[in-house]
Formats: sequence, structure tokens, C-alpha cells
Amino acid sequence: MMDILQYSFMRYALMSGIFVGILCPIIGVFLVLKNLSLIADGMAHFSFGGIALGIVLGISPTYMILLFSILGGLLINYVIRRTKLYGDTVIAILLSTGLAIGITIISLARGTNFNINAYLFGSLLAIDEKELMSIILLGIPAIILVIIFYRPLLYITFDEDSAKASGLPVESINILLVILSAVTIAITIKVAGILLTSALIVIPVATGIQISNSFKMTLLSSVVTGIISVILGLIISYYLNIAPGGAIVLVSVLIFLLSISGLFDQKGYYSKT
Amino acid sequence: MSDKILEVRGLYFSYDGENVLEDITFSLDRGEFLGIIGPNGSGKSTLLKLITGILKPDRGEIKLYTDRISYIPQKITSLSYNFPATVEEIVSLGILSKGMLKRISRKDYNLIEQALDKVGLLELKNKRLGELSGGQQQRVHIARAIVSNPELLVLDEPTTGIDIVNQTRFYELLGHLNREMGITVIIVSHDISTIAGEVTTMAYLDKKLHFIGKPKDFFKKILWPIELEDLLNR
Repeated sequence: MMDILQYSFMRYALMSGIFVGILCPIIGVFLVLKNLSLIADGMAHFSFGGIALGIVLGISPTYMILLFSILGGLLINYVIRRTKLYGDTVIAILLSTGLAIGITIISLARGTNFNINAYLFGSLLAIDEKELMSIILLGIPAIILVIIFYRPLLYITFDEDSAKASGLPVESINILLVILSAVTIAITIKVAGILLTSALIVIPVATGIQISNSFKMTLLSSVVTGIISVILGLIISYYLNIAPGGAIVLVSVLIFLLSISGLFDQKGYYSKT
Repeated sequence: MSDKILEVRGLYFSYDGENVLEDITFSLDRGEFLGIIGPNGSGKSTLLKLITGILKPDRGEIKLYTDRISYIPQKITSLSYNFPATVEEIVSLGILSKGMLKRISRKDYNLIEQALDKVGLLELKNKRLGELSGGQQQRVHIARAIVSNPELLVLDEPTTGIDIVNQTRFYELLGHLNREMGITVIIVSHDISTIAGEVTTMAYLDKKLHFIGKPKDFFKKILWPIELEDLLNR
């Protein structure tokens, strides 16, 4: 472990990875329980259009990812409410639209020096001090907002109608959740890439739900799972010389499989009263 | 002089251009227990969503003389089944109607325990919601609803899928909240026989409000024998 940390790129990778490991499940728990597990995937793919546009126009892709995933999230939210379509249909349409925009722009701008792989698969090991700072500067306010709005977010996740009847501004809280998700996605794409971002948002939460009896425990165990996945995945990727994004997600899948195997079945653990 | 809690005047609502509610006008005094019955698709749930502000009317007006409203939607127990939260966590959500960012104080925890005690579930407060039976879950939602000391409690078909013994207990609990705590209750049900014993006012809704008044008058003037027979047979 120690020899990994002698390289500054590994230290930055570890720090940004752990940060993402905390942030993703905190937002993901609300998305998963609202039956919107795929929305993060939709927003991440939609932002591919933004990345391509940003590169052609010379605007930093990070800002474009942020802009496009907020836009994508709000569009999904709006279209689901205004049409007769199911959420997954709307997400599928938007996801493909973003990808198509991206592919079209790239094909038009042939010759641009565009490292598409970094965005599709993540570039955790290329994160420098400046990028780590931008991850923290974007992520800390998101975490603070979740702490402040923890109960309203839980209420609209549990039942929007009851929350609305008790006077909560449900639409505004939903928009806040979309924006927080967009920030999370913009940060996570650096670590896991467009293709695996939603894995970090969804899989640790699935594990947490499986082994917990309360919402607090779900949140806590999801975060712990997220952090363990990142650290173990990074160590494995270092020694086996494989892509860290893939290793991290595979570790999280392994932990999830353990959680459904019944080995950690805690039925009655929390409920012994 | 009567003390009104709700006034509805000339209310219209439509889905996709088709009227679901037409010209609904009535008022409700504080302390009443209103039971609304009617066939499927008669606009009962829609009326409750309009009263609670979840939907906005196409035409007409709804005047509520309180902002302390609690609502228990239809089929909430099926939604609770896999939700990873304890009974206490769900009940604590009710505190939020006092203010979205209100922190849960020691005093609030006492209120949560009192509410759970009132519905007879205090000893189950650390259980995961999904581990409880349908009847118990429904009482969790009552506790969530009463923890903020509401003046108006609105329930949509709360006893669907609950056995008859627990249904009766549930309506007794509602009757108790209505009489002892003075909470005005509006309930939608297709089960006329179970609610008839507790309600003080009865309404029959089928797109239009065909009847509203005392339960005994309702049975006396059986105005729509076919629908009623149909209802009783469900």
C-alpha cells in the first residue's frame, strides 16, 4: 500500500476517488429509491454531447458536462411529468440524443485532437492537484446541501404527494436533486468515465439497501461500500496494471454480490428491540 | 355560528379534456368526519388531491381555513414494502410540515413517541417499515400524519388490502382522533359499511356531488339504488 502512495498521481487518484466514493452514494440513495437508477446514466450519456461541443468550441469539458447533465436531468424530470411516458423510456430517448449529438459533432470536427477514451472510461490517474481542488470545490457544497436538505429529500423520495400536502415545495426539491446529481456526475465522469459513472451512483446504494434496516444505516453502509470499492479497486488496478475505473466498479459489484449472498444477512440485527 | 375548515365552490377538473369533476360545491365544519363514497373512477381521489393542493383546479375555488393538513395517499403500503426506513424515521417526516428545514429536537422525539404510542406501535419503532403488516403500516402513516398536530386529516382508501378485523380497529382509531383530538377527517372509501359507523357526514360522488349530509339521511333517501347496491356488493 505504502509504495503506491509514493507517486503523487496515485495520491491524487486516491483522494479524488475516495471523495467520489462518498459523494456518489449520498446522492444515489435518493435516485435509487425514487426508481430513477437510470437517470444518472441518462444524464452522463447526455453530457457526451456537451463534451464534444465543448472541445469544438474550446470550452472546458468539465463545465459542459455540468451544464449538459443539469439540462438533461431537468429535461427528463420535465418530460416524465408532462407526458404519458414511463421514466425509463424518456431516459432512453435522452441518452441516445446526447450520444448522437456527440458522435455527430466529433465526426464533423475530424482532425481535432480529442481523447475520447478519457471521457468514456475515465482518467483517474491523470487527475492533478488543480483538478482535485475543482472536484473538492464542487463536491463539498453538494454534500453540505444534502446534509441540510436530508429530511425533505427523504420525504419526497418516500412519497411526493404526502410531502406536497404537508406544504413542502416538492418541485424545487426535485430540481435541487437534479442539480446535485449533475454535479456528482460531472465529478464522477473524471474517475469512472461516462460509461461507468452510474455504476458508482447505483451499486454501493444497492448493497446498502440490501444490508440495512434503516435509512441512516443504508446511507452509511452505501458510503462505506463506495469508499472500500475505490480503495481496493485502485490498489488492484495498480498491481495488475488494469484500468482503475473498471477495477473499482468490479469491486463494488463483488461487494454487492456478497451482500445478496446472505452472508451478511442482518435481518433482525437492527430490529432487535 | 359554524366554524368552517373547508369551502369548495364550483369546482371543475379534467384529465385530457374529459371532466372528472363537475361543479362540486360543499363546505365542511371543523370537527366533522366526512366519508366520501362513489364508484371507481368517480373522481374521489382527484377531489382529495385538489383539497390537499397536490392538483390545481381547472375552475372554481377551494378555500382551506388551516395550513395544518396531513394526507395519506392510496396504496401507500405497497410503496412502503421495500423502502429501507424504520417506523420512527417515517413518522419523523411528519415533523417537516412545521418547517422544511426544521431540526428534530428532543421535544419532537417525544411527539414522535407519543404519536406511535397513540397508534399502538411504540415497541416497533426501530423495525423496518416493510417488516410490518399492512394494518400496522397504515397506522405508521397515521402516526406520521398526527405527529404535526394537524387540523385536517385526509385519507384515500386507507384500508385496501387490510383484513376486516384490522379495518374495524383502524376506523375506531380514526373515530378516536376525530372525537378526542378534534381532528377534522376526510376519508374516501368504497366500503360504505365500515365507514358508516364513524362518519358524521356522508357524501356520494360520481363526477358530480350527488349527496352530502347526515349518514341516516343518506340511507333514508337511497337516491341511486343501482349504484348503491353495486357499492354494497363490492
